Amino acid sequence: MNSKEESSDRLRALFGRMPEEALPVGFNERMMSRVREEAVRRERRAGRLEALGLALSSLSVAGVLAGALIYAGVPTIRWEAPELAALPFYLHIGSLALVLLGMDYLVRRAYRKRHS
Amino acid sequence: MEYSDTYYVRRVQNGDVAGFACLLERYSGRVHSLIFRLTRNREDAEELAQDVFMKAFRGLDGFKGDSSFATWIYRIAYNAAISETRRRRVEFTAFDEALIESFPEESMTDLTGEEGASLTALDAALARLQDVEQAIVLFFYMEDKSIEEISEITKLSVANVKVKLHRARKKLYILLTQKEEEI
Repeated sequence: MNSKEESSDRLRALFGRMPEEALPVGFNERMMSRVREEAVRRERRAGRLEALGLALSSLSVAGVLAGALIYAGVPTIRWEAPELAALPFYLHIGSLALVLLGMDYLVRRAYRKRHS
Repeated sequence: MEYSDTYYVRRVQNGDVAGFACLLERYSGRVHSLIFRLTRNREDAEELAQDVFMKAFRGLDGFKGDSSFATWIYRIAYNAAISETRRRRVEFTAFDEALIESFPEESMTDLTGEEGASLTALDAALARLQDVEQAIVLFFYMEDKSIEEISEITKLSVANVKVKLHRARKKLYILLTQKEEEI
């Protein structure tokens, strides 16, 4: 449609006089309550999906672990009791070190007292 | 201060449902009016308008802003209304192609007669156009949409919209100026 045609377009004037159909009373309020319900539903759906995702990922981790244990073989952990024959020797050395440490402490304290 | 549609769209996308109320306030009247004029049934128009806004709310997260929100919501409304008229198999007046072709262009500027001035006559004439033609005429005259915007809403090419609008205008002028038995 060119400008000449548009300027002389009487239809535009006629449509301009055509009233807009009135919106039903309370339409926006009803619509917003539906929208809020939908938002709550959507939130719940998202929560459920999140929980489902978490459960599925936990199950898959557990499954992978179980599969690895079954197919790759359960690792055997051995624990052996320590040899107790050398215990008196270590006790002797330990107590000697403690006596020397105690003597060192006493000598240092006496030295500090004399020179302070 | 009036915020843009994009501002409210972002608010809704960020989880603020109240932002949708502002969009609803802005477009509910126009969308409802458009659907009513296309379906010509008050109950259907209300139900369809509700469906349109629910669809818009559900789809708003995926709205990238490639087109304006107005174009987007009008597109949803247009599709809903056209689907409804097709579902109801609304019959439209078959026009004599020769009459449309032979109708002089210069006659399309004169609608000063009693018939031309009547809004009831205009409404009746509009109802006799095909659904897509009605929608194009309403977008062009009632919603002040450009040919390009109508093309975006209806997903028809710009050339096609121009042709359809031209034919629809001719049909309207014929209906408003000539006697019914001539059609």
